Amino acid sequence: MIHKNKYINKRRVEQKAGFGTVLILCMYLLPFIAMAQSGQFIPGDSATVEKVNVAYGVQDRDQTTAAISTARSEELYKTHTASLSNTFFGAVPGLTAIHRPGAPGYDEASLYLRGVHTFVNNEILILLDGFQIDSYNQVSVDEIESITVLKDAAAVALYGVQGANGVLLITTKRGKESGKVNVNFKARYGYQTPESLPVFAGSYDYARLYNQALINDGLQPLYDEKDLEGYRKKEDPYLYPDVNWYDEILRKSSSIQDYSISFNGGSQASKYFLMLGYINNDGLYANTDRESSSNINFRRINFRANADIDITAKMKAEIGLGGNLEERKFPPVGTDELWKNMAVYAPNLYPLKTPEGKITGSANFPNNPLGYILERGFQSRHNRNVQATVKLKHQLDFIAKGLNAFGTMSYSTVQYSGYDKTRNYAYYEPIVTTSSTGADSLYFLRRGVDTDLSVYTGYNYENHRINFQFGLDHNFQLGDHKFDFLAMYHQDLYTAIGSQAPYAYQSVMGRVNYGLKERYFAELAVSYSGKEIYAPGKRFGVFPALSAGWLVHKEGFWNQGGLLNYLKVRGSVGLSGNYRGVPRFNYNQYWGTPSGQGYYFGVGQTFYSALVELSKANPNITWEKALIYNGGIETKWFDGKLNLNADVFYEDRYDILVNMGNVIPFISGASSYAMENRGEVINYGTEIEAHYTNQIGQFRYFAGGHFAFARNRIIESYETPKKEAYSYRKDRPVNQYFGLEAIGFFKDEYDIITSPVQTFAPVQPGDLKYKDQNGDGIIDVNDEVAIGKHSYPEISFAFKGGLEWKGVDFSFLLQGMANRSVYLDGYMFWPFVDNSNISQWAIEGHWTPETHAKASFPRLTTEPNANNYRPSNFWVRDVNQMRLANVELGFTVPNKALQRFRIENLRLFVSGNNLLRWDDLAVDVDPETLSRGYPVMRTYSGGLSVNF
Amino acid sequence: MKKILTIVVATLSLALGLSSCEDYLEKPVSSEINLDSVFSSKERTEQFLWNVYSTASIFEFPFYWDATDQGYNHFGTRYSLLAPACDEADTWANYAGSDFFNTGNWGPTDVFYFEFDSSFPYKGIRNANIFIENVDRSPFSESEKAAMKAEAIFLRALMHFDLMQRLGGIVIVDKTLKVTSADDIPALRTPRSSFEETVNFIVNSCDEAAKWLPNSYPSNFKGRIVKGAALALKARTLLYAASPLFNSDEPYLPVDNPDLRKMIGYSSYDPNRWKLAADANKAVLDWAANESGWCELYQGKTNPIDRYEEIFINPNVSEIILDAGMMGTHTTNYFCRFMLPGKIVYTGTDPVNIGITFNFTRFYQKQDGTEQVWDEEEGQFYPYDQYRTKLDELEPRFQASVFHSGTEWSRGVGTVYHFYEQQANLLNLYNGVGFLRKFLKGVYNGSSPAPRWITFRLAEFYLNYAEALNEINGLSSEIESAVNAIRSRVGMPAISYTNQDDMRQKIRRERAVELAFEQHRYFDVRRWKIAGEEGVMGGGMYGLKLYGPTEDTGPTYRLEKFENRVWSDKMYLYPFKQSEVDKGYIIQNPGW
Repeated sequence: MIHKNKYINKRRVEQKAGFGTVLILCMYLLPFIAMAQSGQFIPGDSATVEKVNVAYGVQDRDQTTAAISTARSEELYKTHTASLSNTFFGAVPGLTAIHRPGAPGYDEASLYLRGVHTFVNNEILILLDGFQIDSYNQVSVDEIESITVLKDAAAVALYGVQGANGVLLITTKRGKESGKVNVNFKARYGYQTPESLPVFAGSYDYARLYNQALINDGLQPLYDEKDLEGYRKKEDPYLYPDVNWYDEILRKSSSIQDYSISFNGGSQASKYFLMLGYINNDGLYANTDRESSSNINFRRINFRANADIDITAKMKAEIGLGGNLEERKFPPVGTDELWKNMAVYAPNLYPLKTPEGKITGSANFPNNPLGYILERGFQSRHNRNVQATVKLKHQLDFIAKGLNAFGTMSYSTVQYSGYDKTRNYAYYEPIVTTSSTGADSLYFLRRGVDTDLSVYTGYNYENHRINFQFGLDHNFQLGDHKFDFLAMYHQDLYTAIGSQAPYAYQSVMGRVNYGLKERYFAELAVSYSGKEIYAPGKRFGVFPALSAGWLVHKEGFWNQGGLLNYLKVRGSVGLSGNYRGVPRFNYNQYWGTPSGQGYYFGVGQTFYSALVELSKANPNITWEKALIYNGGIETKWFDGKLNLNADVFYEDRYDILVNMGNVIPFISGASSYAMENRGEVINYGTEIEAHYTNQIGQFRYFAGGHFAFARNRIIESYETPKKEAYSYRKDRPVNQYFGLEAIGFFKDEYDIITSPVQTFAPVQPGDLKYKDQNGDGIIDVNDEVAIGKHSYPEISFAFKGGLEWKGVDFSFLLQGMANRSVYLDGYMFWPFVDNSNISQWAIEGHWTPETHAKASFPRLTTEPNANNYRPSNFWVRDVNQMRLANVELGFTVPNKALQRFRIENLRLFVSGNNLLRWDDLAVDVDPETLSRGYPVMRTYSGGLSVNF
Repeated sequence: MKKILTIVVATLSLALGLSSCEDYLEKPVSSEINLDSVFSSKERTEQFLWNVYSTASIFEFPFYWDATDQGYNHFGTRYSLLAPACDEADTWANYAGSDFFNTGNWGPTDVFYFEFDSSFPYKGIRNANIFIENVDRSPFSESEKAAMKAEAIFLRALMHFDLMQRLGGIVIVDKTLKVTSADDIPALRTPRSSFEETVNFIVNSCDEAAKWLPNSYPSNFKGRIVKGAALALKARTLLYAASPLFNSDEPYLPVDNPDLRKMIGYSSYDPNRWKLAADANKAVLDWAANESGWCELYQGKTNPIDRYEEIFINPNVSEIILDAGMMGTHTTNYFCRFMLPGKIVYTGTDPVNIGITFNFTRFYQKQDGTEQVWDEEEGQFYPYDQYRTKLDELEPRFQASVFHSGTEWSRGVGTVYHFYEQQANLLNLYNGVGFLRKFLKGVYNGSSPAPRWITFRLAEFYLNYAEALNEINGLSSEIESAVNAIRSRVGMPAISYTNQDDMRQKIRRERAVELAFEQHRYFDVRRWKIAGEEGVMGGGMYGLKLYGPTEDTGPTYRLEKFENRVWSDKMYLYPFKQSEVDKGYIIQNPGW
């Protein structure tokens, strides 16, 4: 019985695959039938026209019918950073980057392409030269040619089940034919400072306000007049310490430097690009040059050797070898924790050190941040990434002109290891005793012991990936008809440590691009792709996309002398898939013996382990599907000086996984519920980009910008039933914030007794007052409504401009985002909770009976106040922001001055990143990281680029 | 040229060969198990039966004592027992779930957080159903299969009883419900059964299980279900069914919906239900005496205090019909954390400190069977020696169950604790007259053996029988002898029958004392419909508060009210979880 089923499933798969193949084959054969009739055949010409990277290949810009945007390496280089993703800010329309807190090398930005599509997993597919690698973020900007985002169904169709969230292609540089070796050397050195650091109270304010908070809570003040006086005068740094942790731990600036040398050239028959790069980025911790101490340090060596070799007249090889060595060093403490401690530790907690220079600490707060960076030793991590790709392409002109066969093999591997050298140290707690005469004396009590540095090596693991592709392409022209065919196969096997089964992907694809009279274009792309995670017989799906473009300006009726010189109209519709977020092999119902689950029998209580039903299977589990519509225009005005492009899109994402436990009656008794493909989200929006360049004499300038908007709405998500209609997530954006609506602070006791009862905690004047949404006289969770927006922006935009005059050039990039909210929760914002410090926001705005009219923050409390500190629109704030992402001023030394050094070109430049920020958040924190963890850096750099 | 072509073709065909079929995406063979392989092996079939045990309610307590622990949702209030949620006791710590019951601060949105997540028994029921439906495929012999199936049938009935005890008529699930898809939801929206149907289901299950269950197991499997357990569950179920809360012309709250009326009890009083209860309980006693070959009231040890204490410690005690190693030896620390007084054993700073109320202490007679004189006036100071004398005079079961001031924690060790001078040990922090000691004998540090929790012991069925028999005006000598069997075992003088009402009070009092803190009274006061009486589930709760010596006097004590508890008649039955009612297939119990 079982065998029979398996056989049927396999048959069905083969039938589907057969259908896809036959379809492409028919399309392919059509022109040959036509050719046989007309007798004409002209192979595709390879004149130099603007090319654009597309899925599994390149196309002429004119011919492309998909929504694709590109940014060149030179633009990305202007941001001086160790993480490639941090150069993506404002780079291309539709790609939104958000800073994440992280030490250098660990600060990969979050990326969204065309906003958010699903409430499960919005990760985009990122490919380096066509293949996935483990850490694209560590690729050097010096080795890449461009990044390209593929946005609509036509663009992502060939990625099948992987493509629906959008695709980012990173393309490395390749050799160009040249009579000589072109050598390029680049060097850059920069200083980095935190773009902003939060401001917390000094000891006097801290003690004074802590007292006030205690009194508000009905408790005795902790600090007496003498203490306050001591903190105010700051005369005794040991009895009355006043430590600004940021000042003490951080140095003024850290350094970032990078160097690269590349060689480019070759004959027509063999071209090469070689690059060696090095980057070194330090952290911000001061005084960390002893053996027991550690600053953050990130170093990386990148290398790349790309060669294009004509083995014979008909056979070409493209070889790519690249990789990097990452070396990280950091103190043996989580960066987030260290930065949290710097923020929350009270300024009067203890002096930084004892008078003898020993590190302080206390029983409750043993982790003096200074001790952590100076006395604990260090940890280090060493990652090695290598990617090797060989592509062979053979002309099959003897069969048909323009026909090529190709095969590609790619291997990438990453190896991780670590080396730690850590120790513990004795720390000293200040103990204040008061004698009978009232005089305070201080001694330091030793806690913990000093240990020697001890070494730990480990953290070794390795992942590797083998890709294989082969196929045929055929480009030819038949009178007015131009055909580009592609039929190919791709498989990807990724073996990662810790998973029993490798990750596998398999796809058969075909694409036909048809051009009529170089003005009408249509493209059909189909992939038949599958992932290992689904049930046999349910692993593969067909993902077709149809698109068309029309170069209107090539029509006879077009006024060629008009303002509008180029007009392309295009549209696409297609189906794409997203396998992400699906539990692997969930089609199988598994059983197991989880540890701890069992029963005791017998007098001696022997444990008998139990066999239990594990996560509920869904034999029909499948991928999310996206039906994506896109329309676009591309225009050029004023003799090509102005480019103006726009796209609109609408996406219906369905079959999103939802947990049926929300709606299944619990009497079923299942310990988990199946994930089912029943959710739906729609997402729609637009991208507009404009670019203007002009030259007046020797003065050249450009200005441009882009704007992207994407909005989504949940159509179905199978929520738990709710009491109030407004509590549903349905019809709202994914991850919409929900909470109470704060309508001010309670003025006095009368205000409290005449208002609806707030059930979370007893309230007093100065506490947040909430709106009774359902009018039941009680404020509880049923009064939570949609507040603000969500953490990702609906709008992202960039403005750029620049000029060039007699070797002097200047450029800038402004980048921003709008229509999003941040949730100001936790230690940065809630004073005294878990002994945290009090921020400037609360110092200035907190409610008191005297300031109640203009208060902008609730009354102070030392408790985790269940009434005030719950999600409400007081803590969820809308934020719009813009950054001056980069500014650069360069000078190209005149050629004559350099000739005797055999230097072709020398450019010197200074640049700045994140120099300015504008945002409308009432609180002085970074609106992206909320100033938690390692901050966003402002960088001032100077450098040179020499061509020999 | 030709060579190269050959290479290309070879490469391509190699690639085709590599990827010729969908085996590429096939999951490699791994160690995972599916349903077929579960029941094709004896070992795994047994392991699955242990799963039914582990998700059934025998433990009675949360593994980590937190009602929300996934997979370990058992019973007893959060971080405590049910005793502090009724007149037996009180917790000092305000984080214990019992506090929410005592302040009336519980309802459909949070009751599962304080005690008993009603979704949990359904997980056990599902496991039992899977086992019942599949065990016949296993390679065991027919008689082994029948016996194992009977264990699962019993456990399924026990979980239905746990639900019924709290909720009345519930959704009966007697087969594995299909939950592969949201399409199954309509079929899953099973309505509640009536109370009568629920009782019948449990009773029939017990009858079926009793046919196949053995009377005993080898010692390495002590703790498995014996026939007596099925008889015991049936007997207890019928006792509940006959009790005033369910067996009455008047529901505990007026109900308009006739369907709901049937869910919260029988529509009218029927005295025959007491007869059925009496017979079923007699059957347990008969099984013990005539069939089991081992089950009898424990009569070991010479001292009656030791004898009573031993029942809850020693797994070999002959009167235990069903019990469980509470949490295994390795989690004894949780037990210490929540049950032990102050810091005598537990080393943390926030003990739960379960104190025995004065209200409950009054149920205990003096050792000679006479009443203790409790003439203290509230707020008046009395000498500490009088506290010691009066409590010392109380009967053996009090001495075994309550650790009062001026006695040893571990009896026989010799260290005497006076609570008013034990601030360092946090022994001054309790409400009532002293601390809970029952179940704890022998627990002197974190690694000493954990006690076992008793689901059924024979003593209960003497009292059940007496209670049922008294209600049907059965033979007075038989009622007397059932009650006196319990009393004489701890050296208490016999009582004698006067009339039905008086006997009812005597039986209830004897039951309170004998089964104290064993999670009976919390339900007994409900089924007797006396929870609303002053000082039972609502009203003033009292303690004897100790005061240290002053310059003028020695140590003293005072009768003080420590709490006014809140009761509302809707609390006779629990509410169904709100999130489940919102799914629209359950009729909520009245008043919620």
